[in-house]
Amino acid sequence: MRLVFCLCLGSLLVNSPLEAQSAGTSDTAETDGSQTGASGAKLRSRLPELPAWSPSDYEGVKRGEIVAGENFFGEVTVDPEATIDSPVLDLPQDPELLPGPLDEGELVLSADKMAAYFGSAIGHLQGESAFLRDPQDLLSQQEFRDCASFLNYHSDESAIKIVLNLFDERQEVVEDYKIEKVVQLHRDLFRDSGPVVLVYFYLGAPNRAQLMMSPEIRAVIPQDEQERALRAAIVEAFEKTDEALQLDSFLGELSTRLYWIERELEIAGLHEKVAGVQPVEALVVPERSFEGSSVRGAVRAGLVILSALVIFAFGILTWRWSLRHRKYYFPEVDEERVFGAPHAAGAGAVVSFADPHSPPSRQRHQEPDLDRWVNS
Amino acid sequence: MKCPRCVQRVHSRARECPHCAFSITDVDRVFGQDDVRLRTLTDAAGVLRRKERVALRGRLDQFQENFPQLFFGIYFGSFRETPSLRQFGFWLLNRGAFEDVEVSRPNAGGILLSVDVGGKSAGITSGYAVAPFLSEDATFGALSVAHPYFLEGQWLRASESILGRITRVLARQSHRSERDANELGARHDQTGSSEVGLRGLRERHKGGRNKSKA
Repeated sequence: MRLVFCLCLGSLLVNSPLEAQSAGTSDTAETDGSQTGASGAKLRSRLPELPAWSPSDYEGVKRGEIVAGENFFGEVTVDPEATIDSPVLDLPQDPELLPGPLDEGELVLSADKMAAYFGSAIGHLQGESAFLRDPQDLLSQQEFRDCASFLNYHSDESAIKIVLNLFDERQEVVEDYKIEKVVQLHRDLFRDSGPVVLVYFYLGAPNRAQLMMSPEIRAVIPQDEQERALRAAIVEAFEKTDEALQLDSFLGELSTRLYWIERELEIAGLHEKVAGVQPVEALVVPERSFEGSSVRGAVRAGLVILSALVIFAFGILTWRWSLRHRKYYFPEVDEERVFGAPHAAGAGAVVSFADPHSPPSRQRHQEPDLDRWVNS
Repeated sequence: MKCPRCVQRVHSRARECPHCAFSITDVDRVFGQDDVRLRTLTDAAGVLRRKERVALRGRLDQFQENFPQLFFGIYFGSFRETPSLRQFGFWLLNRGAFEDVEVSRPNAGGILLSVDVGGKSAGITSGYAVAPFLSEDATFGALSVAHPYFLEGQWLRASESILGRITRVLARQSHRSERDANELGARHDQTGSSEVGLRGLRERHKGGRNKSKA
């Protein structure tokens, strides 16, 4: 653009009245430089026709009425009547039709359709469909395989399995198959399944997701912690815009949260037992088991304390026995007889105990016995 | 070492006390110069019951088991006519022939607790082999521990407490002497000398001996 502007400005100057005045001598100039003329012709052939200067224009320039290049920097006059002759091409229409609204029959899933989700007991399912239920084929085959493989991987790594039922964004479930009632009304579905988290996920609406943990888990994990896990998974799902990616994020976060729930189950000591526990409507732990466990714990603690005491007493007895039978020796010293005594001259302390009110230090004999000895 | 009569410090080889001229002949003149046969537990005052005597004899046997070189004797008597308990103890340990003590344990390894039941005093005397390891302060500590029992006339408990205290002191001294002997032996190994013991140590202390001679 800048090059075009310079060329236009240059051509204006070339065709200026000054040049017009010297037009008479231009022939001689052309004869002098044939190369210059050829390049000018070439340039003119590529440029639009330039306006021609008249002598009146020259006079106007000299008077200051016309400024060279004024039109370049002035306001562009737009002809309001001008029209574009070239036709505007219409963009091709999107060949894929947007999905239309669901029918009323599709919005509320009937019991028959829901039966497809719960066709067989969870514990008896094998293969890809063990943990992922998508009878409506809401996911593509690849997405289904990815999701199913993730759920299988999770089930291998975790004691708490995720059973995912997929629904469309606006679909509703009949009353008997509400997630709160499925565990109670369809107990057979969860037979031999172990600890399970049943998830209803609505593709495109992660906020509608629901989960229900099996009674063994609910007996240990408080409700608010379960809800926190669900909320965290929903928040994670909303990080993505694509429906399949939302499901992916949802399951990833839920799997992480279930790991910590599993740890709590282990701490509660129920982890080993839950495999054999049948899902019940409300987990009622019999008092006898508590009593039994407390008695067992007390007995165990008593045994530990008793064994510690026995070991301690044995140590004390051993120490006393070794002390009792220990032998102490002294080096032999030169027996230098004092006072002519053959065996002993070590006069130790002598203490009187005649006065019960005086300490031993006050009753210690330190004075010589010369008087008594002389008298005797 | 202190004189049993004037309680003044004397040289370890003094034949008689330089302060009061005390020697064993003085006490022999009072108590007799013949040996006296007795047992390690002699209750001449008759203050112990039979059970107490048995128990105390057991403790004395235990002491002998712990200290194969030593023995402990206890004498309960009434010495109203005796000039000094300290001198009596000195005499008894030199002239006593303890029947229940092996011949391998001479009186030099003996410790004698003399209790004057009538005069209400108690004293401890030790033989030459024990005296370096049982100071007068240690014996006073043992008697102080037993003092409340003496006041109450609990002779068994008083004797047991003295025995226990002296056992602990001697055990500690035994450890210390053993450790010192090991250090001394190691030092001798370094210097090439084969002599171990106090004799060798004194003989090498030539500077001090020359000074004393000079």
